[in-house]
Amino acid sequence: MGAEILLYGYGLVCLSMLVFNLLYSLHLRSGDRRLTLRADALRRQVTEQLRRMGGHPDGLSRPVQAGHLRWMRRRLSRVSYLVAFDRLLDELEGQDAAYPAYIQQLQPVSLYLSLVYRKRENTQAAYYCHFLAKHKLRRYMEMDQTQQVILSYLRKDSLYCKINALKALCSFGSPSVLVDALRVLGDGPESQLHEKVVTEALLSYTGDTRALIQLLWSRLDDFSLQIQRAVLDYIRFQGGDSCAPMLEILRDDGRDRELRFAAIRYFGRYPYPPARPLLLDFLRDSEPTHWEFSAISASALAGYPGQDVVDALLRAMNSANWYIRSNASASLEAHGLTYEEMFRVLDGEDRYAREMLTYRLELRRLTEEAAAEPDAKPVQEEVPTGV
Amino acid sequence: MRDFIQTFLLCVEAFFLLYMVLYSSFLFLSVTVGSSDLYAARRRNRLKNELSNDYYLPVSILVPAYNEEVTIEATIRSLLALEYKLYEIIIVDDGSTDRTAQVLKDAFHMWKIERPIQRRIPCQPEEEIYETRAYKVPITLVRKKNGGKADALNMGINVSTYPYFLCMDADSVLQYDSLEKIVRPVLEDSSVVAVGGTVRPCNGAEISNGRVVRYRMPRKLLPCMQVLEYDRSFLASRILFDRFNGNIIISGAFGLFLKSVVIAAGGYDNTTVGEDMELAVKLHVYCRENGRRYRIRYAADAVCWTQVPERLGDLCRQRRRWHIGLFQSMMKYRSILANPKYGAVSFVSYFYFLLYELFSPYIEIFGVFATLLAFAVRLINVPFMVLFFGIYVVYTAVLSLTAFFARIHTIDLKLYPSDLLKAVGLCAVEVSCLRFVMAWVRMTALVGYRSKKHTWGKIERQKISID
Repeated sequence: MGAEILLYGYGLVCLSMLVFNLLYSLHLRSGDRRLTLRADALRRQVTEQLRRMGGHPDGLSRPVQAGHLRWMRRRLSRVSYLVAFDRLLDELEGQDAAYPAYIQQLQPVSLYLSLVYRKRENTQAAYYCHFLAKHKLRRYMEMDQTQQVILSYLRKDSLYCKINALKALCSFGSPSVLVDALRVLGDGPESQLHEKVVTEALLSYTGDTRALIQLLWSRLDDFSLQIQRAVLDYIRFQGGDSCAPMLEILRDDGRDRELRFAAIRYFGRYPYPPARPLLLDFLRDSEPTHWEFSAISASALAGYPGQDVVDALLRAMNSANWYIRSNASASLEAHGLTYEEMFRVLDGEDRYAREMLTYRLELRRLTEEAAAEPDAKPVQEEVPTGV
Repeated sequence: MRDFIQTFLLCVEAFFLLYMVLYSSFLFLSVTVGSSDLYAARRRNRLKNELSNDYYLPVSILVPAYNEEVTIEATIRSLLALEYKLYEIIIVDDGSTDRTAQVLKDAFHMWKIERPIQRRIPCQPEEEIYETRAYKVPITLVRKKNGGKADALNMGINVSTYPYFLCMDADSVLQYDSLEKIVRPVLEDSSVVAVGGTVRPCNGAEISNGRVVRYRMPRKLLPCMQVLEYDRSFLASRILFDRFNGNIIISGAFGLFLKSVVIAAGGYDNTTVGEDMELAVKLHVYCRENGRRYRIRYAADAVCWTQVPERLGDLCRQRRRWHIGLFQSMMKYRSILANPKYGAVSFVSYFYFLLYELFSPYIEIFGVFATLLAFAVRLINVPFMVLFFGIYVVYTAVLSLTAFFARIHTIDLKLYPSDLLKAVGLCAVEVSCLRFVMAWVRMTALVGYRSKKHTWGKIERQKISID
């Protein structure tokens, strides 16, 4: 009897699976039609308001009807309508003169929705943040209260919610709130988010980048190490105005080595004479445990002209470390190595140095030949090795 | 004597009852978790819960090749069509005896170059290196002395310049977005050291520039059944194991690795034929023994299309090879078994692979003989046996179909009615016939396996249609 119950149990599981497959297939088939119906309902309502506002003799100052705001609050609290509204805004933006004024008057709805979606499951909360970031609503409405609410989304237990909230805050353009957000983001005990993701979000910041960078420097030590690395990368992508504070980081032995690596990369991108002796010292450092400093400096020194730099790079070609030799050879190539200097390496006894430089020269030939071809395609930028 | 046989059969019955209940429960749990995970991922994507990459991790794609003159050009062209910004392609020709290297040199205008190689992992020496910079990413061809697939991959690691490498087979095609999808777990969690992707049979599919433009079930029955089998196995174990960091297999056809950790762990072991599984288990062992926080993830939406064998002989050779690889890896890392230090990796993943993969052919064939014995001594209830077998077939077939439909639904593939009929019709055949044939093949796989060390498992290739 027990075995039969087991068999019937399995039969029931099979039946449930089949029914589930069937129902889900039907649900998927009707999904697009339902979305279209919702978008149509929203379009009718919104178009009516835009017509009222645009057609009035007072121009665009006529308020949106209170009933419409109530209707929108109710409808947009459902994520399926929010998706439809998202698509509708894509259609309407730039098409109607009354659009900015209409969106501006949706400010209370936006604030209400930020409170509603804060309590929703993470997927929906993340979508609401995506909606805010995508449509850059700050252009039309005041977001002070909304961004304070969005700040709390960063504490939700969802990676996507955190990232979308950060992107929304970047679109609002307030440096102080964004700095608070970065601090919250690094607070999580197990926050292992890759720093590149944070850097990418910061690059979408729409406010005054100079003010943001100034604030980031003043609050750098408040952030977790991971966020600090992301911030320094962001600063590197934004321009060469931060040489002085970056040099402080480079000089500070107590700083995490990853931060100092970021500083070396910064000075590789933006040559800064006061950093030159430090970079040369790193390159000349023969302590094996410091090889990463030497390798990154070898790469950074490509942008620093001078015989002392060339000499140091030539000496680095004899390093036992493969990465140092590889990066030094690339930098020597960038310096436009003279025939005599090349001869010193190629004719020398160090086989490894000779091989590396020969490779660089052959690579240059390959790249030049590829560029000379009539249907040449842009080739990706070379990345320094090992760092 | 009859009493003895009766007692013996009672013990067999109890064992099989427990064995089947555990297996059915696992299958049900994994398919349910896998399907719900795929549906949840679809919902997340619809609601923009995803990382959109404008900021790329640099990846070296390693393509080990041995006598791949038929498919290698198409494979490399598909790699050039990937929608990703920062990667390089490294082909390692492991002493091919056909025109593999010549095809590449002619097709991509490659030039011989003197390139120094940092030999961080031991491997057979290189003979010639060719490079080209005429395409959107650098392409490197290394010709080396034959040493097997693992050895070729180790050479690829040594030549690669980027911090992450992706291994794939020379007869496979990566979907246009696969690289972006497979690096996402790394961006989500920087402690990820390896990510496995989904491998799908491309027999019957039409792929253009890495995009599936037309999806049909394969014409031949054998690859059709493998489509169902792949769906079930990828959905059945990998998504579930991913929940607790328990994946101990990353397919050699498509996996991403953090290079520094692989080098620290010693690279691929060229003494095993299952180098992909060996590496995944080795990474678990290395990270746990060294107290390193790590994750090994599975990216269900990162897809690689591969040719599955169309002839029974090829399929048998492939499965024999896989079983030997499984045996070698399980034996090499047997210290994991019942070892609390490894947690769920030991008590769930390793146990599952031991009982339901390594030993299963022996257990299944033993079951068939026990049934014949019971039949001979008339100690079997035939109607109940038929019912039991029927329920087993229907149960497993329905779970296969659920996995199949979950995949079809979640990636918006259009399914033709004839394909639907094929899938429904063949799922029962796959479970009731092919499975037992494969059980026999796997059971006999270990006979004389030592002589097959270092060889490349080859199946007859068709030219891949990628336009």
